[in-house]
Amino acid sequence: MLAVEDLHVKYGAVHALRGVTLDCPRGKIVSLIGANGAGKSTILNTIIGLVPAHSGNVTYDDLDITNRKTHALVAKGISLVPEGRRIFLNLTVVENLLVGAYLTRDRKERTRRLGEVFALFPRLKERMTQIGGTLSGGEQQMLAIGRAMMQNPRLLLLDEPSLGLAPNLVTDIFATIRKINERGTTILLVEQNAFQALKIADYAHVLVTGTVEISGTGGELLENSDVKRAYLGM
Amino acid sequence: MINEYIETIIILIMINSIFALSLNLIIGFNGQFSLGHAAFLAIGAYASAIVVAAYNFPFLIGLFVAGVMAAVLGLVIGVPTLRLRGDYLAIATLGFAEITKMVLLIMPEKIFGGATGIPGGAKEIDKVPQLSDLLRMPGAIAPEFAGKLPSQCTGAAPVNINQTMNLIFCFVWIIATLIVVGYGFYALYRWLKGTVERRISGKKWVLWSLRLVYWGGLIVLAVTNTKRINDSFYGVFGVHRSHTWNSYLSTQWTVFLFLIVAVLLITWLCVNYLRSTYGRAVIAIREDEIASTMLGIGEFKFKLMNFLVGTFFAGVAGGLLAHSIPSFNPFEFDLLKSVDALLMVVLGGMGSITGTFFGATVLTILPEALRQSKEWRMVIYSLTLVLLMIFKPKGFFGSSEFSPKIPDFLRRLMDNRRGAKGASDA
Ligand SMILES: Nc1ncnc2c1ncn2[C@@H]1O[C@H](COP(=O)(O)OP(=O)(O)OP(=O)(O)O)[C@@H](O)[C@H]1O
Ligand SMILES: [Mg+2]
Repeated sequence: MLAVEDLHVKYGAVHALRGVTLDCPRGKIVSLIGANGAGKSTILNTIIGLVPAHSGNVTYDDLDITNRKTHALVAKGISLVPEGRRIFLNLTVVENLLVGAYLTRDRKERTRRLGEVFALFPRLKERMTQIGGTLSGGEQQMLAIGRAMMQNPRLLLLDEPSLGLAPNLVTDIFATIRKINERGTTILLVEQNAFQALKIADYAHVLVTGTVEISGTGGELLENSDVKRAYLGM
Repeated sequence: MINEYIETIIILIMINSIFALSLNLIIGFNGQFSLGHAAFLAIGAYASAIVVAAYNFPFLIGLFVAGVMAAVLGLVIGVPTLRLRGDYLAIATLGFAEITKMVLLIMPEKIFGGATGIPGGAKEIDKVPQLSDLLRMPGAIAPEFAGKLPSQCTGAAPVNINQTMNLIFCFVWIIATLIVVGYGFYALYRWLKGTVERRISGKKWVLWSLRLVYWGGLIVLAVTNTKRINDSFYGVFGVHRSHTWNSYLSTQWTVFLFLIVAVLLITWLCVNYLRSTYGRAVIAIREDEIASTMLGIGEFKFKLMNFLVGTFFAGVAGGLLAHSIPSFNPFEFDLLKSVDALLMVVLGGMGSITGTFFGATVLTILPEALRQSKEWRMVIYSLTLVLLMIFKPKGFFGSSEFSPKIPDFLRRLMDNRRGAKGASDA
């Protein structure tokens, strides 16, 4: 569904991605793990068109989408849950969600999606009229994911969804990600929590300073001794 | 009759409300700090004055042209400046506004004056037909009779009526009245029905009598109004001039009523706009530009669209202003005028519609109330503002709305329609 080929990204003199190649098959969960500053967020931001690619290309459904405008890509069914959530702190939960569905002109469809998101996160329904900024960190993360789901994406890019969450909430979030995936959404997941990320992944890649070092299925990487030592602390 | 001075202040409050609201759309709801809003007011005023006074178009068309011309200028100014942020945007819009003012000043006289009939030319526009003339007799008024009551006009044809336009005006007015009145009745009916249903469930005859009263009332209203409508057409065709459609109201109240309807209509449009998907995108951009981009909101597109909406209404306010003050010239639409609107917005609360009305009211009355104390006037005015900023930095309303209990049923009605209730049930 999504293919990244020999992608290079430069921030001025910083060469953040040095030829990344990866593949995201339809209906699968693909995890990307790596140390801080390895370039994980950069990959997602480049895919969605927030950061320009220096060279290489990104293909989505056999369509070259390298350096396309973000809003065009969202309209094509790619959504990003950004690092640090970036929910609208002064808007209520419902307003946040409705902004997510702004591309949908059909009111019934919006209502339907809202229902789906509330089914996925019952907590958000309870907090419907609460102001985003007063939500707890976990609720904010749910809201960020819910907001992206309002766009009914076919490909969901998640940037560190477990960041700053208590262990039991982390488990919840990963369970939700799996649920979203089971409903047919392809997922590209960036994570610091390597164990959980590899456990739910169909395929996984390890990123080291801008290049993919190790690739394989989630199970293979969990068994890999390098991965164990560097990312699983075993 | 309210004395003329107070009348003018009331009129200015309403026009300033529209003007400030249009700026609040841009600053308060979209977070784009524009400092050149007076330019759009100016364009609106000139456009309407020319269209109505020189070309004898009906007043409503003048207002529409005023809005459109302001939006066109908005496009010219918005495209290059809206890519800028914060202070840069403020400075750039301010610059463009000054340019607009200068262009109006040096504009050749014949565009405004001379052959087209507005005396005074570009530098000073006066003898623009006032609201009271325009509303007394729908349709255009010959310039030589502008500012005069019909009884003061002697001669064969006191009013130069463009009959087709007049007919259209009457028609639009009647339909608009019917819609407003009908909607009000409908809302009242729904509310009553809802209350009755909740209180006395199951008693069919109560509901039926309610329906009877509602429909009966509407029919009675329609029948009694037929006479008025009929009369108005006598007026239109010049058969009997006392039978104009608004001969039932004093001119002063016609003017107030017209402006109240204008303010309500524009507020209603703005509220609906802000609740639409477009409005939400606009507010999202204010909240977090990058997050909005990530959600696929084309940032520039929405900033520009919102800017055009804001400038359109500023132009309408300008059009109304042109017909409410005896004369005006480009110097009136300077930085101070933009700052006035900005202060109204800030005082009331950025992103609050009710706050805007509050700000517009206070800041229209305050300078007038201080008029007696001559040289202290500006000092007190400024000091009041400084104190307000210190003690109420977010304005009186912040970004929240003042909503009394009474229009709750109206809101519920709107929510039903907008699907928000459906969403909460989902
Ligand atoms: N806007 C920017 N300007 C300059 N350098 C940047 C910018 N954004 C990222 N970088 C650099 O690019 C490299 C990769 O950053 P990136 O955010 O992709 O890392 P990451 O893998 O997501 O790290 P983390 O796990 O900490 O989120 C880092 O060295 C970072 O300093
Ligand atoms: Mg990152």
